Amino acid sequence: MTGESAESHVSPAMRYKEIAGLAQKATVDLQAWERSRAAELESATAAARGEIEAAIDREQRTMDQAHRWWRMALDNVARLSWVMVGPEPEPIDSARASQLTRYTDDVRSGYQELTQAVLDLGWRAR
Amino acid sequence: MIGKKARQQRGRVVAALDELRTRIGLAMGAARNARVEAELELATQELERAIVTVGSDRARGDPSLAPRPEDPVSDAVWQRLDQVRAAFGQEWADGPARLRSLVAASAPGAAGQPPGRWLGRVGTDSGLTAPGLWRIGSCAVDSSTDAEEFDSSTDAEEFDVAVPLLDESHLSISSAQGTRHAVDALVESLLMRVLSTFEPGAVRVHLWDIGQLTAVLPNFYPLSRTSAVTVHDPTRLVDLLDEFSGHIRRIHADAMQGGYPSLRAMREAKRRRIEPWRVAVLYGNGEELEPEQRRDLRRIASGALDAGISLILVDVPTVLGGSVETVSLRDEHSAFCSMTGADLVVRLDPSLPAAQVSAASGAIAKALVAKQGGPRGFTDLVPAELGQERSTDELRTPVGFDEGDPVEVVIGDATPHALIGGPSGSGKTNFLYALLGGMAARYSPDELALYLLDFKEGVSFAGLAPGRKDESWLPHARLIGVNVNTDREFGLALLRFLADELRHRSAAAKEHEVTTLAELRAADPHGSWPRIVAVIDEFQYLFAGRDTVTALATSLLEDIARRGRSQGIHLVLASQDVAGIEAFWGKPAVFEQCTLRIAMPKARRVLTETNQAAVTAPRWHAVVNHDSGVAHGNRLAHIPDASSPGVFARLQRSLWQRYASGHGSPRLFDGAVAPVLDESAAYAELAQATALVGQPRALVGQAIAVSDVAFGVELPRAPGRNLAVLGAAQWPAMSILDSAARSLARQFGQGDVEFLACCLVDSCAPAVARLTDQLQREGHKAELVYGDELGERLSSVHAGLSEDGARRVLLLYGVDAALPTLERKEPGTQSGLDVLRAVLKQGPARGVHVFGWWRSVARLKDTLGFGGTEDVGALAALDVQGSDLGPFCAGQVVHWSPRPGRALFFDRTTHSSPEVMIPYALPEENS
Repeated sequence: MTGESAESHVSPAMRYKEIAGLAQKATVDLQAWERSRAAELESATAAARGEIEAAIDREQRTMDQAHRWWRMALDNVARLSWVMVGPEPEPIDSARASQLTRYTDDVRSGYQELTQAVLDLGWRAR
Repeated sequence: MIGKKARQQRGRVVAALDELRTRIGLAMGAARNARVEAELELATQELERAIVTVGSDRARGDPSLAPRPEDPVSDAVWQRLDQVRAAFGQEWADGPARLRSLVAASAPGAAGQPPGRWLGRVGTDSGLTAPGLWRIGSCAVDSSTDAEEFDSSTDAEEFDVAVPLLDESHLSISSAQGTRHAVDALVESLLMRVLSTFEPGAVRVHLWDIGQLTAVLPNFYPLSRTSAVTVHDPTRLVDLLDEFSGHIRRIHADAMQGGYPSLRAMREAKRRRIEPWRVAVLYGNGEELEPEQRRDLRRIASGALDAGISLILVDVPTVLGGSVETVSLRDEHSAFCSMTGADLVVRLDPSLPAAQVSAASGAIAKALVAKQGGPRGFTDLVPAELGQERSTDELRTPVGFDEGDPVEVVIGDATPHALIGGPSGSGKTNFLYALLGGMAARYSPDELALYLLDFKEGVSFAGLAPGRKDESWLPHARLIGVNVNTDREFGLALLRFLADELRHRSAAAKEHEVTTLAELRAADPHGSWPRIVAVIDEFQYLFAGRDTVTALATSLLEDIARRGRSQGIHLVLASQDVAGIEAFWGKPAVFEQCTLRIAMPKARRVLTETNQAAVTAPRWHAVVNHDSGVAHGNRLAHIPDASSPGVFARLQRSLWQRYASGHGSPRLFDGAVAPVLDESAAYAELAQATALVGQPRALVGQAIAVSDVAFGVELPRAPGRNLAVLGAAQWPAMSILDSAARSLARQFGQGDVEFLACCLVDSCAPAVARLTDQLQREGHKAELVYGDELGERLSSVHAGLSEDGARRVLLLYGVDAALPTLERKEPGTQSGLDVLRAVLKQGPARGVHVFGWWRSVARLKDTLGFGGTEDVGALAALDVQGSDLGPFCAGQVVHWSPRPGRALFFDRTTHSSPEVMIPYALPEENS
C-alpha cells in the first residue's frame, strides 16, 4: 500500500525517465565494466607475455633435455649391433601442456628402464 | 643362433627404447603446447583489450575488431562479451514494453495516439487534470542503425517518446541547420495534441517569433481569431512577459490565499478548472535576448508551471529555471531528447497534414465561439443555485468575463476594501449592480449585509428597496440611501454606524478570545455575523466641505478602513476622481487599505501612475486589480449589463421570494422625499405608549441616521422646556410645529392636554385650522385664537399657571408679527410681551409649554429680552445663518447655512452640538 501511494506521487514523466534510464544505465554500467576490464587486461597481457617467455624457455630446455636423454640412450645401445635405432623423438600433439613435469619424470624412468634392460642382456644376447 | 632367453632380453631393450622415444615426444609436445597455449591466451587478451578499450558498441563496427566466427580467438572473445552485455541489460529487457504502456496510460487520446484517431475532432476533456505526457516521436533500440543504440541480441524494440508539458514542464527545442520546418512540425503537432485534448477554451496558446510578424504556425490561423491562439508582436516581447508576470502573481495570490501551492492543487481541490492553461511558444532564432528580458523570462519560467503556464522555447539561448525538457534536432527526422537520454535517437513523428490541421483549427475555433456564445449576460454571473456560498473567509463573485471566462472580485483578507473610479457614464453604477448581484446571488442575507449609499442626484439604488411598481426588495440590503448629495451627515451617520458595529464585533471577538471574523464565527456559531459591505457611490461628496462633517468622516473612514478587515466590514468606495479629495491629502491610509481597485474606462488615478490599462479599456469593460492598482494585477473584464430595467429586478425578485420572510425590508433613506410623520417608527412607538411612561416628547423631525429615528423635545415639568422655530421658511416651520403638536397629542388621553394655537401669518391659517380640527377630532381640547386675542389669552394662561397645573401647549405661528401689539403697555399693567416672557419663564415648570415660530433671530431675542435665552431650551433653525444662533446653542460656534428642506436642531438638555434634521412632510402635502 505504501509503495502504491509513493508511486502515485511520481509523475509519469519521472517514471518515463526512470525506465528509459535503465537502457542508459545498462550502457553506462557496461561502459564502466569495459573500462575496468581494459585496465585489468592491461596487467593480464603483461603477465601473459611473461608466461609466453617462460613457455619458450621451458620448451627450449625440454628440447635440449630430450636430445640429451636420447643421445645417452643411443650411447647405451650403440655397441649392440642388432638394435635398430629408428627415428628421433618428435613432439606429440596430443601431449598435455599441464602434464610436462610428469612427462619429464616419465622420460627419466624410461631411460632407467632402458639401461636396466641393456644391463640385463646376457653375453649370448649381446 | 641365439636362444629364447637372449631374444627376450633383446626385445626388452628395443621396447624400452621405443617407450623412451614416446615419452621424450610427449615431454616435447607438452612443452610446445604450453607455449602455444600461452600465445593464444595473449592473443585473446589483446583482442579483448582492444575491443573494450574502444567500447564493444564501436568495436562491432570496426572491421579489425568486429566478430569473425571463423576465428576462434575472435569468436571466444565476442561470445564472452555478449554474455556480459546480456547480464547488464537484464533490467532494461522489458523497458520498451513498460514505456509503451506508460505512454498509453499517461498520454491518452490526442495526447498520445496517432493523429488519424483525433485530428479534426473537438476535445471534450473538461480540463480537471492534464495528461502527464505528450507524444513527439518514437525510439527503437536497435544496433543495426547506428552505434548509439543498444542490445544486439534482440530485435529492434520500438517505444513511444513523449514529453511532459502542462503543469509539469517547459520544453526547450534547439534546431540544427535547415530543420526549422521540422521544428515547426514538432511544435504544431504538440500544440494540436494539446488543443484537441481539452474542450475549447481550456488552453490558450501565445505565439511569439522574433523573426516573423504574423506567419507563425500559419495552420493555426483560424484559431487566432479567438482567445485560443494569440500571435504577439515580435518587437513587444515585453508585453507578453508583463502579461505572464501579472498572471503568475495573480494566480499565486489566489492560490496561496486558498492555501493551495499551485493552480493544479487548487483545481484538484475544487474539482473544477479555474483558469485556462497557457502555452507560450517563443521562437528566438538563436539571437541573444536583452538582459532584462532574459531575467524576466527566467523569473516567469520558475513560477509559470504553478500558474498553469508552460513555455516552449525554440532556439532561445537562455537557461530556464523550473523543470525543462529538451529536444535537440539532429536532422529533419531525428533528435535527441532529455526524456530518453543522450544515447538514444528519437525518430520524430511525421508532420501533420497542413490541410487537416487548418481544418481542425477551424473546427475548434467554431466550437469555442459557439461555447462562449457571444457576449455574456448578467444571468451568467448568477450561479445555478442561489445562496450556496459561505462568507466565513471572504466574499468572491464573478463580475464580468474575459474571453468568456469569468473574472472574479474577491473581498476578503488581502483585499478588504475596494476603490472604484471612472468618469461619469463610464459604467460605475452598472459595475456596482453586477457586483451586488453576483454577491447577493451567492451569499444569503445571513452571510452578507449591504449598506448602500449614493451621493449622486439620482436613484441608482432605489430599486433595491420596495417601491410602488415593485414590492420586492433586495433582502441583503439593510440600508439604502439615495439622493443624499446634500445630506453629507447621512454618510457620516453610516460611517458612525459601521464604527459602532466594528466596536461591537471587536468586543464579541475579545469575549471569545479570537481576532478575526472567521474565528469569531467558529467560536460563536449561533451568532449573526454576516460580512458587511458598505457601498458609497460618489463618496467624494462626503468630503466636499472643510467642516466638522469632513473631519469626522475622514477619521471614521480611516478607522474603518484600518480595522474593518479583520471584523468583516468592507468598504466599496466609488468616485469619479479620487485625487481631488482634499481631506485625504497626506493621509493615504484609506486608499492604501483599498487594495482592490476597479478602474472603469478612462478612469484616472485609481490604478498606479504607470498603469495605463484603464486608458485603453473599451466601453462596458473594467480593469479589475487586486494588487493596489499595480500593472501586474490587471484583469480586463467585460461587465455585462446589470442595470437596464428588469435585469437586476429579476434576480432581486427571486432573492426576495427566497429570503423576504426571514428578513425585513431595508431602511430607505431618500434625501429628496420628506419623511411622513404617520409612517415613522418613532411616531408609531408613541402610539403604543398609551399609559405614559417617562416624559412626553414632541417629535420635530427625522434624524439623519442609519436607523429611522426622530428628534424630539422632551417635555418634563421643568424650566426652559419651550421650542423655538427660527426662520422665514414657511412649510418647514409649520411642519415642525404640526408634528410636535400631533406627536404630543398622541401621548395624552382625551382631555389630558390642551392646545392653544394662534396664527399670526395669514397664509398659514388654513393649515393651523386643519391642525386644531384634527386635534379636536382626536378628542383633545384645541382652540384657535385670533391674533388680536393673543394678549388676553396669554394673560389668562399666565393667571392659570398656579391654579390647575393642567398641561397646556401654546402653538404660536409667527410670534414676531404679534410683538408690536404685545409690546403695548397700559399704565400699571403688564404688557402682553411681559406676560409672554413670564409664560416662557414660568410655564414649563407648571406644564405649560410654548412652541413658537419666530421668523427672525432678532425677533426672538426681542421677545426673550435680556438674559432670556435659557427659556428656550430647544431650537429648530431654518433659513437663518449659523453665526446668529450662538447664544441659543450654549454659546457654541454654529456651522449652518440654510438648506432647503432641512433644519438645524438643538436641544440644550440632550445635545452637545446642533444636528441636522429633516422636518416631516405637512399632512396636506401627503394627500
